[in-house]
Amino acid sequence: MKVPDYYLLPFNFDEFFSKEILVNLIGDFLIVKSGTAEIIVNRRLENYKLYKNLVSNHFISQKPESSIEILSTRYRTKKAFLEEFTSLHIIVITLRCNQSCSYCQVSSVNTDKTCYDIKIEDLKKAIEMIMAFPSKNLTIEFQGGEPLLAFDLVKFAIEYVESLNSSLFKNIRFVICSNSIAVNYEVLDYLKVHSVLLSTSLDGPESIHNKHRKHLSNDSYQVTVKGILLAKSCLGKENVSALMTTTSNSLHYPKLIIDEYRKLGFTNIFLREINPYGLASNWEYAYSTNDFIKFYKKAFNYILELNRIGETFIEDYASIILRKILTPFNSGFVDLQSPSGIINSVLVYNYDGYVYVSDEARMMAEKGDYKFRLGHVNDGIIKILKNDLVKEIAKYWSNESLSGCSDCVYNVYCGADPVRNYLKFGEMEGYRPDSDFCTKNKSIIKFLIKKSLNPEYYKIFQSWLSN
Amino acid sequence: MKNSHIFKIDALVFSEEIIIKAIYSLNKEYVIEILKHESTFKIIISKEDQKPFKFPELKKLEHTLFKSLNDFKTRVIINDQTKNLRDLIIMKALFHFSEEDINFKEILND
Repeated sequence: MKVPDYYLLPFNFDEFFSKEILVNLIGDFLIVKSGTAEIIVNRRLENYKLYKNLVSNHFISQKPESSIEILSTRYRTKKAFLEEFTSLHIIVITLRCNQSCSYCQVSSVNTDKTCYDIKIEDLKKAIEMIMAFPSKNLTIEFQGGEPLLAFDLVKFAIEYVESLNSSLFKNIRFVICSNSIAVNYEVLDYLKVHSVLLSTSLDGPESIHNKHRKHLSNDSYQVTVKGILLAKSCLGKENVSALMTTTSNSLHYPKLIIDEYRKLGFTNIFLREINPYGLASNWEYAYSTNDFIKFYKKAFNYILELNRIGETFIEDYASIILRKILTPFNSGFVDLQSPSGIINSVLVYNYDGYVYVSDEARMMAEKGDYKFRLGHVNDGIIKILKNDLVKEIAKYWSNESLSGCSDCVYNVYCGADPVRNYLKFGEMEGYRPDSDFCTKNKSIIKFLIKKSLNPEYYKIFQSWLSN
Repeated sequence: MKNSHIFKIDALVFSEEIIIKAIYSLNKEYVIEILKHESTFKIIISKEDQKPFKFPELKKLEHTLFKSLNDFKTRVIINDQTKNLRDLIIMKALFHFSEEDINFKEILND
């Protein structure tokens, strides 16, 4: 059957192993023979079955005006996070910490230095600013240092939020990021009453965890695990999550790390690369992005095997990306968004009252670089958001307009990170071939798309996404 | 063996926009200069360490460059033919216009 005339709809393409991948504006993809994009563009399409496939997947159309409605609706869905505006607010309650991690991104201080706790006046102002944001759904995350060392301030913050919210009726989720060492029944009872989620850190089994996370007891792993198990028993396992940081030590033991998480009853893991901030910026145990990618793939393949034999165990970073690839939705993960999550989705209120565009930005400030400081909580929300820094960042926060990203076939699944670019390149645009952010994400996205072409893995991924 | 190599590109086939996009990634490993003379672009590529090219490397570079040029030519055509539509989709998605506010056919045929 002859292929009718058609119009092009917006799409991109690139080589995909020995074939070609086409991805349209809303993230639908097709794997086709190499050279297909050129055939389509030059109107040499003869394969009617391929033509129908391209039409039904919104790569071409006989009447482009009829595609506008559906494409715009789906595009709006992909960018729905913009309607919520800034919904994640991180409050750094204190820099005091009861652990000494060699890759610490925060530059924490000793437990007795209460001058590094946030002042009540600044905390109140921060909360008033947070509650003034238009978002109906807010996540307020308490970080440190170790926020449990200033638990009275955490309690004050939670109760002040709740009192302000009694007339605002927002949906508020509280999260506390703690190493679990100072967790006890009193703390957990409070967290339970106020529905606070606990996010903790576990790098792997004892030898891996203790290598870089030092505690006075000399066994950080034992006290951390004790805290995790106690928290799970009091709060419920669904309200306790753990994050690992991949170190050069971890690279050789992906299975051991995953098995440690399984042993402690976790059904998911976030395979997280170390970020080049704080103490980790000149870290002697640093490793290359390619080493991390090899580690990630090994770990992920092991996770897939577990799922194949009937155990549901999810890799969170993959889940975030797969949601973008396999569903019409975005993931809400602020580090992988365009426009980027900084400001649009997250703000950070530091212990000294200063407001930053992201967690990484305040870590840079700890090392003396205040480039991404927006102002002070006393400045008020309008002055914080309506300033020249925000206008400057806005030029670089959409990957649709960045060199190297705008033509990238995977850009709809990826994001922009002006802060990371600034750190590496000294300017916010960055140069993609040298960008670790780009190398890592492109590699993982491509890896996951290839896996999803296997029907068995596709089913596993769908079960993760509906979990 | 040479220390730099010149690729001559027909400006009627590949525009400056296409060439700049095509060499973007190559800038990581090479020093690149673009010159235009009448209807020909000269892309002068040399290695950062100024060492001469070996033949296999040169062949690989040539293949990469021309594949990239062809791919970006296709991409530029897609972008040119879909620019208005893309803008309309995004406008309709992110701004609250009604159908009556926008004459789609007029904009698409623009």
